[in-house]
Amino acid sequence: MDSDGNNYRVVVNDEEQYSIWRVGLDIPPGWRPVGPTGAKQDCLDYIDQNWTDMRPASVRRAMQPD
Amino acid sequence: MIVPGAPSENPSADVFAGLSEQQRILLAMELSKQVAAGPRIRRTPRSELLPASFAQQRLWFLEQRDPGTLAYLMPIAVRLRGPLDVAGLQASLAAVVNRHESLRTTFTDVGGVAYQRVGPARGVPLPVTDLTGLAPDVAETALAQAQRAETGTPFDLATGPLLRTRLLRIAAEDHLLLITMHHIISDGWSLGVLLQDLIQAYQLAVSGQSPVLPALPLDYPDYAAWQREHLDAARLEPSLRYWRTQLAGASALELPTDRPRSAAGSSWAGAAVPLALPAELAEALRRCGTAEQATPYMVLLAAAAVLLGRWSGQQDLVLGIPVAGREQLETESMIGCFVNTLPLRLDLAGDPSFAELIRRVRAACLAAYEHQEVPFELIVREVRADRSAGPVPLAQVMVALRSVPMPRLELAGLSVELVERESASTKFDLCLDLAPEPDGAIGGLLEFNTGLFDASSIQGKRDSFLLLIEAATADPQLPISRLPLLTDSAQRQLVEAFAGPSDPAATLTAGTLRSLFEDRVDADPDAPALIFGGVSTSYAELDARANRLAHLLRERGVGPEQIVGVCLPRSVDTVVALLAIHKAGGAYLPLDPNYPPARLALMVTDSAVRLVLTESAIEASGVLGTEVSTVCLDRRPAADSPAVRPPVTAGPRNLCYVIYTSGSTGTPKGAGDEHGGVANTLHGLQAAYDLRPGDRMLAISSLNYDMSVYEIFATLAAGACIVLPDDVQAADPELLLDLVAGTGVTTWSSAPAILDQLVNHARGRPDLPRLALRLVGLAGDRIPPALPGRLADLVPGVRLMNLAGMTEVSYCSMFYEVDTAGPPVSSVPWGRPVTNHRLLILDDHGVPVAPGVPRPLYIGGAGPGRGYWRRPALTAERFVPDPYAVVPGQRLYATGDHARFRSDGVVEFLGRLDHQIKIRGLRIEPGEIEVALAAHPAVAEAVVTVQRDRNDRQRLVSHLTVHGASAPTTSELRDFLAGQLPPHMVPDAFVVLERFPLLPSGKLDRSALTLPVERPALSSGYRAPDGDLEFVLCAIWSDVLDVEQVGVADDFFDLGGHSLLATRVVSQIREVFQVNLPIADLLGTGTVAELGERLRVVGSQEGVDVDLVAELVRQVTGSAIQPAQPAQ
Repeated sequence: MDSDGNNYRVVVNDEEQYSIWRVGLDIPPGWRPVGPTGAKQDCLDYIDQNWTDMRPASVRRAMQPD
Repeated sequence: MIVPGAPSENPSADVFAGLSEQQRILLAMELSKQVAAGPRIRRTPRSELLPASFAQQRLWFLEQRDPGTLAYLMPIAVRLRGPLDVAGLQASLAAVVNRHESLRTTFTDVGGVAYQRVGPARGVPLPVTDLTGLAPDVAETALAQAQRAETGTPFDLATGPLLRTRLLRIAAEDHLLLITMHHIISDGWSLGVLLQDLIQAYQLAVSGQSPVLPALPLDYPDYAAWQREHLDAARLEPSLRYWRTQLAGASALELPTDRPRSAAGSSWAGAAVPLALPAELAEALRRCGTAEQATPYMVLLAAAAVLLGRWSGQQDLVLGIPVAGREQLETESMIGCFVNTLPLRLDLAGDPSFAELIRRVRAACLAAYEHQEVPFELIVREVRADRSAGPVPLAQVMVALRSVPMPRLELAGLSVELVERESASTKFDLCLDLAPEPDGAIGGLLEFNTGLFDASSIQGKRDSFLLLIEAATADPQLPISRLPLLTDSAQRQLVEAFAGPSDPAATLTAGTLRSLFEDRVDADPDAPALIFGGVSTSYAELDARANRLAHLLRERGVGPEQIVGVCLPRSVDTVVALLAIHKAGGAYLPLDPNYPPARLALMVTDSAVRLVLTESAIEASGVLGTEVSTVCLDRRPAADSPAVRPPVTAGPRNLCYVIYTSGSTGTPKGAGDEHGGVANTLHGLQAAYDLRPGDRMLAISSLNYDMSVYEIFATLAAGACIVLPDDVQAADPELLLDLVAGTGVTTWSSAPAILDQLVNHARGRPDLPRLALRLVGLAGDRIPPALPGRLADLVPGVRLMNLAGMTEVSYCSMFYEVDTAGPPVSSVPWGRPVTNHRLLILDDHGVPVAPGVPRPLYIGGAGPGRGYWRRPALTAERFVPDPYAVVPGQRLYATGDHARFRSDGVVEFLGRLDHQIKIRGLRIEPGEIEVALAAHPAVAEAVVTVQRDRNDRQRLVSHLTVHGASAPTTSELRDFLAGQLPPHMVPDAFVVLERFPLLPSGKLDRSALTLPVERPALSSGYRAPDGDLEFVLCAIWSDVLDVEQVGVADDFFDLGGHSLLATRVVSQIREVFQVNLPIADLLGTGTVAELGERLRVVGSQEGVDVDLVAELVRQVTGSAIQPAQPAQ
């Protein structure tokens, strides 16, 4: 899971927390691919631009005014 | 790096093409024996003293260095079933001894050089131990005992004999013949020769003839003479060049051991576990070799390289491979030490397929065989010559596969079988010694050094080896990183057993820090919650104050997921502030006012915090900048707010705090945790601490250090009482000690350095009242090796916990109870997981590794917190999907630490991935050096670091504090360590400090430990010594002060001298000049020039010509004492 010229994909879980996962390895249960596949830094750049609210989805929902 | 020649460049590489397997084996054997045609061995006249071979010289030398070692004993056992003629056997043994001069050879020391001395023909004693009358179990014990006695008795190389025999009679027609030889006169091949000759002689004996064997035309002394004559430097140069190039830059193979290498010392105690490739697997191995035109041995080597590479984490390995060393036909019937070891360098880089690795191994072997005539001892010398210091161990692991099965013979109704005997010693870390068996299987022993390894971990490695051979031979195209070392079920078991039990609901049910506190307020409102400045605050009072402030914070807009800064000196208000922020629903951001202003500014800016709780003086100082609004608690802003609890707005998944990590790597970053995760950790640690309402916990840690989370919130959650020192007490060990003693502190948690200081102060305080401490938790840094023992001396019966974790994973994930009565250990393990935290050690493919294998540590379960504050990319990179999650979608935190599981599931920390300490290719274990140093009676604390000097050389430096007034000299410490550590682990410099520098967190400030060997910039210019007296005095100063260059006008104190060092200078002067120089004279003079003048005066009073003494000293010591010349 280290930087090594491998290709990564952006993945996200049900709490809408982002991470990266190496292409070629099975995506662990509870995660789905989203956005680009490519160099590690490209994936991380995508996450920087898209994961703008780092609160878990359940926390966000709980804080919404009814 | 230099890789073995590619096949196409190697003339012998393609010779295997198109041959059958049998032909290839024969050819490889030939190649392994082949050497460029040279002069033949000739008969050399026998004189009393004959030259020893290179191998004999080396073995003799090792014996001199380590007299009585058992490492080079060669024990064999021969099972003789059937009617045995004991007298005939004894006569046959004599015949064999008479035929082979080696078996009658002893060694004589002539000026440090060994010579062979061949004794006359003689009879061979054959003591018989009769076990026939004994009960089976008694006989069994006696049998084992007799064998142990043989392998446990050393030989005397000077007096001999170097072969001894014993016959064990198990039954009337069942005997075991034990033959033990010293390796200096024998080798593996020799065993076959011996057995064959013995059988031949015995056949003659039982048929009524005299058992006389034909004389050998040439024998070992002829070989040794030939070797001495022909293996000269000029002839060997091309091969020496090959080895030099081949081994340039090679690192020692460093297998992670079960016990530290230094503790094992030069112990060669060994044991072995059996290893067998069943016929089917052996056949697969052969087939796999055939496909790559390689011998079964090469395939075995490739598999061994995969195992060792994965185990050590190294991609560049050097293994020892044996070659028979019998290049000349005439040597084949001789007994003697011919065998040679070649260092085989293998390159595993680029994750090749197993097939590709076999090709690399084949190329490396063939190239090595071409240069095999160089004795191992010369290769070692050659490689060492190229290095600035330190030998390079080249063959810690040996892999041997005999080419033919040992004979199993039948004669005159007697079956003869060679029984493998386990050696009680080993010359290697590991030695794989295998031989083909008649049924096609391959079997033998995996020997290991018991000083380094436990049998259980070697058994695990053996199982991994077989598993990976199975997988590799089944699919040689698999990249070697994908070859399994564990079966799927073993892997699942490993995860289940080691990762720790996990209750995924824990983080939602453990509560919030607010609720845990309020539950305790309700349970016992009058109980003391906090002692500060001699005043006790009850739970109810603390609750009320926090409630008031919380209402104010809510008015200021604080709610869930918002951070509020806390920039306060240690006081009751600090705790009130944290509780109030939680009660308002928010998360706190510690801003320790003792931190440097630049660091505070960075945290304020990076976090974008809007509101900070502080006090007037700090606000006025301006450190918080102009962007934040403040609430100054010293102005009692919430005095009029209601004391009732505000409504609950935050739950377990809400943010609890954001703590900026110390940033030992890269820029500081804020790590956020959630209430549920932190509450889970608090519950989990109760298993270790068992805090009760009567407990008093010292809360010394800075809020910026996550240890404070436990100190404050675990205490409040347990209904116990926090003892809070003020900032002055926290920084002064004396005052702190008084506080701990005076308030009856029962539990302590801190970084090790603070406790170390406290314990060392307490040792100097015989008047100290008994401490009530029952439990101490340490975290954040390595525990100094001597500390546990000293703590137990101070507080008998105290329990000591090593806590490990990171802010990123709810601050603590593992704990380990330290045995304070045990011997000091260089590195205390991290331990087992806190409840619901999961620990995984994964390889590059996310696969759990076997116990003992060091790889990155990942922490999951209830551990992972929110992530890095306002850093999505960094969070995504370090908090990764958990492939083994109990609940789908959970994350693992990649710690960036190297760790391994012990076979009992305890995690051991092996260092930061990016902080491996190596000097000249050799791993340095600072902890081991610290253990050794702590054993010195004068040393209080010692820390070993690697520093770069101005020439960018790495230097190993020990900083230390001492007991009492007299610090040991550098040379004294060096001598002290030299007796216990390998030379490369003895520090280059020792620096005595008054006390260690600490960071505000209480951790040791390693960046403040510097290497002060340069002559500091002084106001006076450098003036070189003039005359012998000044030279000698400069040298003494230079030694004591550890300053490379001392000028005669330099002031003693400017050079870093202090009174302790002055004592040492004076004692050296007294010793050298035999004059009674008072210390005041040195302190009064200050420079070498003045000191010289003063010394002349004192000398003349005592009738000593100090100039003459200095001249003599310089003559005797030559340049050694001469101070460095000034740089031009």
